[in-house]
Amino acid sequence: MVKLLIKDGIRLDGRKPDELRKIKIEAGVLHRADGSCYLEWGENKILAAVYGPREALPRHIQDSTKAIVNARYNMASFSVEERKRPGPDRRSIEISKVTSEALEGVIFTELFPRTMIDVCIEVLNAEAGTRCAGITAAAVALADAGIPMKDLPVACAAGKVDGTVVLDLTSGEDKEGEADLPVAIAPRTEEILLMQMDGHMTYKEFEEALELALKGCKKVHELQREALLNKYKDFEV
Amino acid sequence: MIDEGRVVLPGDKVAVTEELKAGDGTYEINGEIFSSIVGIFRIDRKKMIALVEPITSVPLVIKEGDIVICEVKQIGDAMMICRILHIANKKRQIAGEKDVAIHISNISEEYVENIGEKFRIGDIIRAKIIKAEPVLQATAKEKEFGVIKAYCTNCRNPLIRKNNLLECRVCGSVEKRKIADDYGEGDIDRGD
Repeated sequence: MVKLLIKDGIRLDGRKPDELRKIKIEAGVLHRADGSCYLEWGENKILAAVYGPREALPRHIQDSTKAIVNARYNMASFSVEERKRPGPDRRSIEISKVTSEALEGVIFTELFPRTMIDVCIEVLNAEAGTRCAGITAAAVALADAGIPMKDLPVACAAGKVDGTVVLDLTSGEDKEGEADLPVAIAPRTEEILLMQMDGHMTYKEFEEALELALKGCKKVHELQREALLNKYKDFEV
Repeated sequence: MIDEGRVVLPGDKVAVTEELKAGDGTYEINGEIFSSIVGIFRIDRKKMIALVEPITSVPLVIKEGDIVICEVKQIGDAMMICRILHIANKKRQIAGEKDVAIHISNISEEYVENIGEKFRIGDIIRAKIIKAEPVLQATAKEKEFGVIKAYCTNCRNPLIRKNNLLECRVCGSVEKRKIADDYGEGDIDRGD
């Protein structure tokens, strides 16, 4: 068993159990996309782009009552240590699906019937927590694209390593730890948009982890806001 | 209510329903009004409506009065169907329906017996949207509207303007169209 906590509850990378990794968010980085965002979360490097709402094709996938949110999560072949075979696999198809559903929960899709909103999430460098980072980046890109939303969704993971509930797992903690709990919320109402769990936790630990993940989400939300306000600060009157 | 002129983000509370009504860029839940986009908070004091004026680019929804560039897809007895390719001065892709109908009464100022005299399938035309609901309708009346690029019906090579007619440089055939005054200049962003 690998030791994941050094004494006094400090983690291998020197963080406290409830501390996030370093996060950098930049909105509007791509010129040809309608909205975009670049995000660095620890060693994760993610680029999100939003296209549309645009005509949904082929026509039979159109919904005459609302827009389809089509998120595509893709890991670059060079994003992990061992070269990943490019293209969608079982894992990325699942993440694309849960991301689409999480984003659909906040977008006013009924305003754009028969259309499709494409969200492309490209993972350029991966180090655990990419689905959370992807949703966080996609939210900023959607806001940058001017798509009406109830809230700015945000995601963060919590988990359990060496018997301690910790926030924002690194890849070592994810692999060797006991559990991982990614959570996406709409921060204003704390409505849960995505929650998955890998591993085992007692109910008490789960509640503690969820609480911690929500706290983490709130912190990341502040950084999202800062990124958007930073891009559009010239408009302040 | 927050101060007018402040930059707000999706989910920011801007007012309550006792003060204002929810307008563009906002939504209302349980008596509270929130912003739904990134924009500047404004108040329409005449109607007491809360508005958020977008500062990002916004989804492109076709509305009445838009100048559109479209391709002729189908010609019928009473109307023709065109597919919108571009809206003048707009960069984003169109959100929603792209097929527009042009009725025979909106083809040209003069009397039109047959739409085929004025437009042919595959022509690129400029028109103005006159109705957005329930289906898109446009007009090609007025001199700036009409064909901006046409192809020869014999050999599909581009036609060159010669006075009020169009001539094919390859096969030499001469065709009639309802020509826009800037035929062949390729200015797709020309507004009104």
